[in-house]
Amino acid sequence: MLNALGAVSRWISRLSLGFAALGLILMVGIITWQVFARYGLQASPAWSEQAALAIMLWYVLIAAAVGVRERFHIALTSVFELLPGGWARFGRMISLVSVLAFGLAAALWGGELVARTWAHDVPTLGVPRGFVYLPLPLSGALVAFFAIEHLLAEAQSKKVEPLWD
Amino acid sequence: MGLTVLLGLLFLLMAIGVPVAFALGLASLATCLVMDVPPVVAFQQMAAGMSAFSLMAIPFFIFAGDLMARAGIAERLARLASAGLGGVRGGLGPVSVGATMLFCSLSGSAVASVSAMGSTLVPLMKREGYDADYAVNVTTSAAVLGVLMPPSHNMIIYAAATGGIAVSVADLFMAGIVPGVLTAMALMVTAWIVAVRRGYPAGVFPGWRAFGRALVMALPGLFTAVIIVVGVFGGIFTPTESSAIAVVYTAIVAAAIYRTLGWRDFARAAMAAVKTTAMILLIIGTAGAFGWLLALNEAPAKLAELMALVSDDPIATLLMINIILLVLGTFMDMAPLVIITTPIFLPIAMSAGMSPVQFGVVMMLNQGIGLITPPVGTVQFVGCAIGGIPVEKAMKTIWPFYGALFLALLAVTYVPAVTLWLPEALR
Repeated sequence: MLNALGAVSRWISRLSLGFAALGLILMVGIITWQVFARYGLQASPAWSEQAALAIMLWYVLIAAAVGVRERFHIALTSVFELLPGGWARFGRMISLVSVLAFGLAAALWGGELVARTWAHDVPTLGVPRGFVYLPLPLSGALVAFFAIEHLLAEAQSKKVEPLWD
Repeated sequence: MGLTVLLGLLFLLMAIGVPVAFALGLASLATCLVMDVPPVVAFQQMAAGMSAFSLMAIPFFIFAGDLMARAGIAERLARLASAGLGGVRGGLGPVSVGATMLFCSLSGSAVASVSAMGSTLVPLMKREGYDADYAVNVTTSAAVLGVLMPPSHNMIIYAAATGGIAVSVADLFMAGIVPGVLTAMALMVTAWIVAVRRGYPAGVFPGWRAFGRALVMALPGLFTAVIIVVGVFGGIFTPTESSAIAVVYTAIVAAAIYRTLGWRDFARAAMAAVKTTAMILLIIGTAGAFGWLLALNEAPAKLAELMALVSDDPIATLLMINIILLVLGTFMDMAPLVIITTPIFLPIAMSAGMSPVQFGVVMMLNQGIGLITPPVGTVQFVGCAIGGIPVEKAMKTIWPFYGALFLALLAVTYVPAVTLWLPEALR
């Protein structure tokens, strides 16, 4: 069970890292093109800022979800870590359950936000606003998935090995 | 009630080790439920918080900073600095401050600056007979300038966190320069006095020819700062555009002129930037919902009332804000702290007569000091790791540097001209 889950999780993690890095490079390209077009072609593209922003929301939210797996999010040292015995593990579980709860909430209400904004187009871009917000519920679902992976690993006293450097 | 849940749950969740971004999100959600606000609004505020064009500069500047570090630009700056003043008794200390300041004004990040400059300067100083704790403290306190000097990405975060109050990133960038240079001078004097008192040796001046060569080698890298400053203040491009140009320019200089950057390094830099960006922007997102609820619950007004009980004198108010921020800065990281505290303290500072631009710079220096104070002092930790010494050892001798930074903070807080003169003169 944990093995199959781990394989899927590693695959998502690597894929997301590549996707996010490409997204960043694409954003740099779009904004550089915007400057070049304004001065070189005397014509500012209308779509460039909105497109770069949409790309950023997509890759940042996906990468942030993988951050749960990779444990790169800033956190204070838990007070439970200062207590003896099994308290530290208990604290880690509580923390993971909290993250899981947020992931589920983001999937649910983020999904509602997407549904409500699907009918509105982003000006100059011609895609639904809901599409720009779609990574929010996706990210929420991924956060929940990775939190569950960590919880299962924790229950078996195992660790999820980070893959991003 | 709403405010109690919002703040109480935030601190509780952070205390049990929930990452800051998720603690902010959960506290906001719970507050929505308690106040009968539909939770979807929290996610709408979150999406809105992340959807500002100016925020795109954050991944770009982080990317550019990482490229600079990988391309060996830091090393060239260090070589230039030691060629310039390494011949003076104890001169390597102040010169390291200067070199780190230069790198800060390229990368705009304190953490990037300490890792790039520290890994070059600390071994260099140790080799010349300087103590490791001194070498570390000089570099880490100078790296604090990374948040003051343009293109500080923390200033972009601040501008995004002010809520309804419009603050121009370009003005903030300009306002940071004079305080940055003043702070650097204070640190240089401190570094020199400590070096002389400890009896550190003088190096050998390598001659004007070698100095000239080091300067020529460093110039293409330094030109990034010129592009950003002239580009943004000349109205040629926006701060966001300047950050994208900085990435492209750095990549070209590193690949074509310095020949220190391959495709592999480029991809690695992109991946490293993605990680930092995802972490910071998720916090900005969930803090968007959090800040909206703070405003809805009139948190700034309530805190202002509380502070007025102690004193309503503007000088005392500003001192109180500084002390609260310094204390919070010791145990929280800079980005989340700026996002959480700006909407609360900015209105109070403004009613005490401070402009939003000046308060931004106060916030930067104040929180920058927090980067070198334990228990959570990211820059100090990186510096100590590079110097190979325990944090406690560096902390024993860091006091003179704290003193210099604190003096600079007082000047920035109580003398508006220090921050506001340059942006106004250029208008």
